[in-house]
Amino acid sequence: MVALVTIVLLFLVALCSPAIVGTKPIVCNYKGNLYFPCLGYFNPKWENPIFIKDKFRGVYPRSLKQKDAESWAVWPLVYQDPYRRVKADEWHGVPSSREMLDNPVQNHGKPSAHNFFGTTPYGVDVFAGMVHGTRIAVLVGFVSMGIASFIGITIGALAGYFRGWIDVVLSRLIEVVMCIPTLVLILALISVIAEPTVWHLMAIIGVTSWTSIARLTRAEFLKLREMDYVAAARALGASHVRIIFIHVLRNALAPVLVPISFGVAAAILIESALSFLGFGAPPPNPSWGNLLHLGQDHILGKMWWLVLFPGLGIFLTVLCYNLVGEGLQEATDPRLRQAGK
Amino acid sequence: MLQYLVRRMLWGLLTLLLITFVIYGLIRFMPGDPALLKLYQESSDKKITAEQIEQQRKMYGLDQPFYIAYVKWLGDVLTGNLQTSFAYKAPVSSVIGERIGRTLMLTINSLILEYLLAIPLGLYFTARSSRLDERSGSMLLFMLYSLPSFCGALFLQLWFAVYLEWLPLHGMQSDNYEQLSTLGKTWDLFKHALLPVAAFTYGGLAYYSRFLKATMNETVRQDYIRTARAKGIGPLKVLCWHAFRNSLIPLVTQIGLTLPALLSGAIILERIFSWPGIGTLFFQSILERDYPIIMGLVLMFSILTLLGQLLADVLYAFVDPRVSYK
Repeated sequence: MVALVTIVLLFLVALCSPAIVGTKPIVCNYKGNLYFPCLGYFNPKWENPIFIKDKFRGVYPRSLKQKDAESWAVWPLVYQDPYRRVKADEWHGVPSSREMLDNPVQNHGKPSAHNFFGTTPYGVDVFAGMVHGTRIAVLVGFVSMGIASFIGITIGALAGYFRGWIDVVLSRLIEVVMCIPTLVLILALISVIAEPTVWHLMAIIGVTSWTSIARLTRAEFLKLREMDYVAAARALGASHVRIIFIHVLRNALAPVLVPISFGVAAAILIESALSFLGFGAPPPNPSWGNLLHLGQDHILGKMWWLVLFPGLGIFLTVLCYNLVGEGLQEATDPRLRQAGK
Repeated sequence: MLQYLVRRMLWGLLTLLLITFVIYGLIRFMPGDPALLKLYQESSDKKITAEQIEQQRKMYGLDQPFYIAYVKWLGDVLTGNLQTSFAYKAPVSSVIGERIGRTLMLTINSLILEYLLAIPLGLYFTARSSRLDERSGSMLLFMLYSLPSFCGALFLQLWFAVYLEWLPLHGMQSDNYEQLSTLGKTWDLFKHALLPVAAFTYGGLAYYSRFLKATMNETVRQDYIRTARAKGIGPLKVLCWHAFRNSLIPLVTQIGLTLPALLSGAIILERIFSWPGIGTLFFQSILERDYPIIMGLVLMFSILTLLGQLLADVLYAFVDPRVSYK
């Protein structure tokens, strides 16, 4: 239960990340119009071009006041940026009594009241990076497992439902893919792409991790296709596609959720491992693995916050998905259910 | 049984062919040309002529389309020749052979540790089922199981090597390794291997003890265990003698499945600890576009995976008389 709540929380954080930390206002009134510059964090194109034309250069508080004295804005909860170093004079709300207001660089960026999780050697706020990194973590888990479940369920369903030579061919295919060392294949695939982005990563993880889903779906279909209701549906003249996807799949779905849930955890793990190894999305992207990579590069600088916080983030997320998977397994596996009593 | 083995072997060979063909095609499509890379390294100031490039490409066998080059590679492999590494200018088999021992030193030690620790832990938790110490212990194991090895490795490095300075941060030998006595050399190696082995071990330890506990929980409910208890056999003997022997079956077959992980699991951790083994070699060869080495390693990983699965199935039939492949 706690795990489920945490995952929902993670989703919320990912969805609201620009409203939690950022340097772009959530809503602002500029020259009589309302804008939502914070959407630029989701996609740079969603940031209204007027701000580029008016030479804001990404620094909103000062520019807004200078260019339009009437303007007002609603700011994110914390004024920090996941991409760049925030300077002292940017934010007018900071009390002037503090001596050093620029984000600290090198290994001076210990966690403080201004940088909750410290800063990277380049003065970028780690907390901002972590919050915006949840977007990648959540996306990777869902997009790659979406692809994997689509492939896995289709192949498993076809093999289990039709049996015969289709089953033989598809089962062999599953076996062959299972034998390919995943990490080797992923690294080879990534090296082929000249400029890998997060989306490439997700697709690659998706197409390499569908085997366990396919196997389980096949087993479920083998069992369910003999049920009376399938025969009844067939007698009523339902087509194969309808029987597979409407009647049988709905009943097979609960057990299939188990490998999907574990798969989400594995996908997040692979993504962060790849970013950590420098094979992932290019560094300005705030991903937990990238932060961890920085932490390893500067490990001799004793910057514990660069290792601890992203590491904990990855760990907790993987733990939660594993717990959910475990819970689902207990709920769907009759042998384990007996054990509980 | 023999027929089954032969069939499995044939399928395995076919799978191998498919895997190596796909990977060979993929790496040939990687951006970057090893021939150019090589020439740039050799002549930093001189201009490189198109002729030189052509010559170098011919030397590496890059002038042919990949499927022809693949057939050539396959032919070489079948005669026991894994071709020559671009970067090391030595036969691939000797380059790999030189490093495989270092990787095995980590993985075999950690595998032994995993089993040595996981079996008593699993038994203990079965015995103390549903009590407070079992619940907290199981939760701890689950957390260890979910802690990605590279995070764990970094935490270990940060704490033991950077803050406490008890152990070296990375590498396999100290700088003054050559001057040390035999005992000193062993001690030095031990110190360097301690953190990587720990990082390797904890995940597997958590996995195996949870695995053993799950199978034991199932065995303990069997009728013959109740019979044994009814006969008045002590709880310790029932657990360790009657129940454990039957829970051993899945545990033994797991060994086969861990075979590929012995080498490929090292890829990430070796990189973190700069351990000069197979994993580091694999990374370097991908970055340097050293095709023969990549192919040699892929071949090795795939063979191990297939052998591991076969071994698991055969062992299963061997230890459990109820299973037969007819």
